[in-house]
Amino acid sequence: MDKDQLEKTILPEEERLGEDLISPKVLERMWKKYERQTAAGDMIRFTLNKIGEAAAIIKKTSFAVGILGVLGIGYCVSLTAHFTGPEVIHLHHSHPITPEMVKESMTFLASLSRLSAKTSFVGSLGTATGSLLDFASKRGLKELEQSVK
Amino acid sequence: MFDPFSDLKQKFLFPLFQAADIFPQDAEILVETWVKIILAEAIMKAVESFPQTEAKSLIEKIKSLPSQEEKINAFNKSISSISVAKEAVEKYFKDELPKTLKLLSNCFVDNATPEQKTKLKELLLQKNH
Repeated sequence: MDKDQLEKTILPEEERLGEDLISPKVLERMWKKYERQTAAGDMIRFTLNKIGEAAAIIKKTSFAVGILGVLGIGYCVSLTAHFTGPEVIHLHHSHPITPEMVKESMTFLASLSRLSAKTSFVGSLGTATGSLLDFASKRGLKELEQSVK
Repeated sequence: MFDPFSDLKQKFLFPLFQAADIFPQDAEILVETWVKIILAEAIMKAVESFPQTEAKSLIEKIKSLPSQEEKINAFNKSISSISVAKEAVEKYFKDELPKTLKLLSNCFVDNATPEQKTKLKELLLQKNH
């Protein structure tokens, strides 16, 4: 798949900002609302960083991009380009996150969500994966309980 | 419909955000955002692990399918049938996700007031026992 073909798979703005997208403006507003409250602000900041990282983890392998491309998730191509610049370093070093970066990352996540409804993706992997998700949840919880004792 | 994320949401994420005095509506948004992040990371791990030959044949297959639903089904099916992709997702849930959850909870633990920590203990007790 060449660059032109991939660009054609980029969804129009209206479609990308579909109903399953949590508006970047909401997240931006939330960040401003809680940034001075240290526990809440820090968790929101971490969440925003993870959004950026989740979008940035795609490696520039043609098959990964190709698979997502034929599924209509071509947007990751422009994101890959976007996040291979200094923005990656910004995200990883907790420098300010621009609203534009949040918007692009959220759009990417929304596209992936459309790709696979929650239950069908996890469900299609079988019970072992469901159990592992449960395991991660329990382990996180156990450590949290110990931390606040 | 069964939600595999239910426990994670109700027993871990909601109490954490609630204890940090985040309004319920905002907590709802953050929890859904986390589900999206986890799914995105898991899907990307699977896609990145696809061997070249399988990836090529999957691309061709998806191209030939008429509806988006069929395309998605083919994608999901390929993840469960290609062992390295399945292993990549399982490894993510087993090793990386707990570390990520720990980092999130550290944000709370390192910054919360004594009152917020007490509130969290009470919420965890309510939700988990």
